[in-house]
Amino acid sequence: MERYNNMNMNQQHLLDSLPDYVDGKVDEQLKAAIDKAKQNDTALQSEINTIHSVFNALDKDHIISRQEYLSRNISVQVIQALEHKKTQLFSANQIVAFCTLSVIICSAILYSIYLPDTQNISTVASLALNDSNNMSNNNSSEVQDIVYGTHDIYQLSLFEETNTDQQELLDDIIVDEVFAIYERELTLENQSETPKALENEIQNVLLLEGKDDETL
Amino acid sequence: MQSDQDIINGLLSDTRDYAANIFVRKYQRFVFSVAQRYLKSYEDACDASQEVFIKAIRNIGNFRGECSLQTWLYRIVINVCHSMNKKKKLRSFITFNSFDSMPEAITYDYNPENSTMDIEFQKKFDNLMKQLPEKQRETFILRYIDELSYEEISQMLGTSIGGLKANYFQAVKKLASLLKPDGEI
Repeated sequence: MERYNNMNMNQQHLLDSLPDYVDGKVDEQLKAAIDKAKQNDTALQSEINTIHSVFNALDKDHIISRQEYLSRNISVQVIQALEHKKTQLFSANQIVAFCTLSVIICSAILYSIYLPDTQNISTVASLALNDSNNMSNNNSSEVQDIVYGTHDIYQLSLFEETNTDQQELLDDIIVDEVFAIYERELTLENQSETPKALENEIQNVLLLEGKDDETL
Repeated sequence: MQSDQDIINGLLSDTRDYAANIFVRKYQRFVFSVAQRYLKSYEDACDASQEVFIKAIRNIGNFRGECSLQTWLYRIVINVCHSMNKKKKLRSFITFNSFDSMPEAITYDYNPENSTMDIEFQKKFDNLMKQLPEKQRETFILRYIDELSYEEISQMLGTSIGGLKANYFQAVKKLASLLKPDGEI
């Protein structure tokens, strides 16, 4: 009690406690101190009256009842939402995980379907590269083996009925390769004529290209 | 009214539905009023309140009891409202609408059951609150309307108790200056 009766007590602390004093939220000790202080202090009494008028204007019960009215349906909405989540077969996270997994599986399947064709092309292309390297070494026996190997792959890819673009690419590679071999064979000094197997190969390819013997 | 500890125990036990009902009924006014102050829209405040309770019920196991349940809920409300405001901003950016053009005043449900007097009073009260600085407004409402202790408000707003008392007094003084001479709002 002495603390509040002291004239040196913190005036600001007293003022800051006035709203709680008017609202009846201060302890007995502080209440008694303010009661005593306001008897001799008209400014303090005026402050208390002002706060009273504010609290009277802003009727707490009115505000609370209004808030209660506005929020009355929330409990129903929350319970319904909780019930709805219970009856849901899958949660949102599960659906997202399922969709992601499905996309990955589909991508893998599509990749595995289209991958073999591209591998064929790259195999033919690498064989063709090997052919030209071997030819530069003037090794005729290897050349023929590789040509037959290339032809096998070419025939295989025809049976597999690859799409038109890929087929055209394969044709171009084979035709170019065969012509390259043919030209090199003709320039070989130790052979006077084109080997029979190679000649047949060229004819086959050109016939498949839709060209006749005259073109050859 | 059940205690917070009973509600928590209920939410963690088999009587979850019953406890959830009690929990929501106990705090729905508080959560809704905070959400409405932040979002300034009746519909958004309802949506936010629903989300807050669902989050709270689902995560009640993570509540460590370092603060009161009401303080914990207040933090969830602020987070949810903040998230909703961000979504609104993003949506308004995508649709080329200005976020600033959103209504400053709180929207109300114009239900025929509502008396005109109630709506008018609510409008005037909200208009008064709008004129207070944010800290003073929150302190005034949490202390005067929600009747929370300074310790709880301090945990919610992160302000010292001395600072809160000063804010409360200043808020009341400002409101007094905004009231009509006859004391009407």
